[in-house]
Amino acid sequence: MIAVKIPMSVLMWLYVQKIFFVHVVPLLVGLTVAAVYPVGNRVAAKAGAAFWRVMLMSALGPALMLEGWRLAVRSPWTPLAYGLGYGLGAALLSRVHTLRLWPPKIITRRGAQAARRSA
Amino acid sequence: MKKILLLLTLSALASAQPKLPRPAPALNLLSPCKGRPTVLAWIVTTCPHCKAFTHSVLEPEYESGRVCAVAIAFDDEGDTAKFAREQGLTFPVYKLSREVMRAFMGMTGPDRPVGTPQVAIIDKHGIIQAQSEPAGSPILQRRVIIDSILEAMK
Repeated sequence: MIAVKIPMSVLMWLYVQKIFFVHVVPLLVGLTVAAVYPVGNRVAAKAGAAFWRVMLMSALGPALMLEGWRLAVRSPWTPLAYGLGYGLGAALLSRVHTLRLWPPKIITRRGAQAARRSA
Repeated sequence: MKKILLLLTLSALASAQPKLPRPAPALNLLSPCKGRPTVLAWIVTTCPHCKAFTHSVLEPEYESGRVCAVAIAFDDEGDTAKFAREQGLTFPVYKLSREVMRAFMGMTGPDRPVGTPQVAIIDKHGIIQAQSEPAGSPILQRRVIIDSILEAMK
């Protein structure tokens, strides 16, 4: 409760920060986890992959998820935002045909289909 | 009947909110702050938000010399000397009862859990111009807001 007038810009900046940390960060964490989990697993499942590579790539998703939970400001909105972000990530990834980590390249299912047709 | 109950609840909630601005109740501990803008924090010595607020917000404000900073612990078991030492505070940390805190912050009605720190910003005329809501106000724990309030009180 504040009786004096303070600049609106100060309050707005605080609210922008609040919206980012409370509402956007869980969504981004969900999206990133959804993308990183299958990518890590895919690399890990490659035939003949080195033991350490499998271990590290499989560890990426869970580590990122817990880091997100550590950083996120928790509120009743957090599970929903995380779920929506995860869903969005899974939906986007379902459109991907091939993903190359280095040099980075993404081929969508549609793109792969078009390439097959033209061949 | 439902409408009446809703109105009663709303009026009870409205009356529970202390009115601002209002004169700060007399407190001997605040006499050295007379005639100066004062930031008073009612704290619990084990509360992490109180530690962060006193260390990162109140101490720099006090060091800047712009305000009279005071922290008052209202937890029965609290060791204020240890708290001040651990947080590296150079302003006084006192101890008073929860009842005094409730009276100072204008809390009426049933004694519910309060959000800490409870912050009160008092102008040089002894008028409370800003204070935390009983459930706590994270916004009043931000230095940028406290600076803006102090600027507006000039």
